[in-house]
Amino acid sequence: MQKKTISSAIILAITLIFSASLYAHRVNVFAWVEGSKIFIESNFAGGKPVKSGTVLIKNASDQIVFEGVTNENGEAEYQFNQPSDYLITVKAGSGHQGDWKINKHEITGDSEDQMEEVKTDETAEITVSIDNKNLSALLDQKLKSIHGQLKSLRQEIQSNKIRDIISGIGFILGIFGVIAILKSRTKRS
Amino acid sequence: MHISEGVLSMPVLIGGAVIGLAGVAIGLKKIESDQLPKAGIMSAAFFVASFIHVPIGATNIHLTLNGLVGILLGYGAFPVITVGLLLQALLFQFGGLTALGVNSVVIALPPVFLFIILKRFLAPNKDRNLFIISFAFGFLSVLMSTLLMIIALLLTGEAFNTISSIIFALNIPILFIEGAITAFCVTFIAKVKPGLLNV
Repeated sequence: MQKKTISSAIILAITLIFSASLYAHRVNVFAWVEGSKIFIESNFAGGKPVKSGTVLIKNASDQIVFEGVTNENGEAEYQFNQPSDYLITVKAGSGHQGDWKINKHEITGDSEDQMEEVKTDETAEITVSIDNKNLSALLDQKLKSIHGQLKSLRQEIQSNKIRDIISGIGFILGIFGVIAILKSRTKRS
Repeated sequence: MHISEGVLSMPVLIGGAVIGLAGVAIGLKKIESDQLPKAGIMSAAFFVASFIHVPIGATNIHLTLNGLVGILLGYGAFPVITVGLLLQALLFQFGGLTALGVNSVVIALPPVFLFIILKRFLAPNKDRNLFIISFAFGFLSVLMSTLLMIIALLLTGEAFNTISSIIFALNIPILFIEGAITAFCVTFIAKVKPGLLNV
């Protein structure tokens, strides 16, 4: 009886240790486009930045266009030559990595915006009318990708519901297990 | 029936907590050890029941199953339901944590009360009509729970147009659905594993 308790306690401790480390090494990657640069931020679940992580960027034809390292804040940047779909991967070592997809239209939306800015520099009077007309269209384009991200975030939050139900059931059975142990103890004494 | 955080006044919350604590303590004392696995499963079933939505007309209402818990566990219904409510509050913010006492009393007191009154009708007896008794259990448990909830809100000082709010809160179809589900479950259990019934 004592042997069983000790071995099950050891197994439990090992499981807990492993589960903690798995959680710590989930890599979150977030990337966005500004002008002709892609800005990348990555951190571990829990907030700590991925320092000196390997950054790999592949274009739509699956060629590696960039290999770099994240700085102390988990940041990196890449100046791209042409608009394309990009897949950004950040590796944090021990086989843990995360990635982020940049869609082509996130980039092309921005470059159109850049051309508008150049034009308005030339004639001051026209500046105001162009801004007013195209402002909402430009905003819509920029916000489109953010809307998409919000949508997938919301879906992710919703899907956790099943996880919560399963953990709730586990907790409940555990609580009654503890009650059973306590009851059998008082019975014996 | 899951009253949220910040709705009830302090006296009601404290009163509910005290009664709830007493109910849980009595229930834990009265549960026998061999009933605990059943209690755990019923608590899990109660926990999940709130996610079963029944579309009625324009709204969705959820099952409570407190009648079933009362028939199967008697006094033990109190701790079973309280544990289920606790986890619903923690994981899904279903009902406030400070309101846990009140919510437990609202949902668990009716089945315990009904158990005390109707116990003799549940006893194995050629004349017992298990279907009708358990239907009544399910129906009346939800009915009384709704009334208790309204009382708790009234005591807080909610300006209630009493009659219309009772009619609104008392979702009649769900009463029949709960009664039917309780009845079918209990008659099924009586056929398949009569030892599971608490009598």
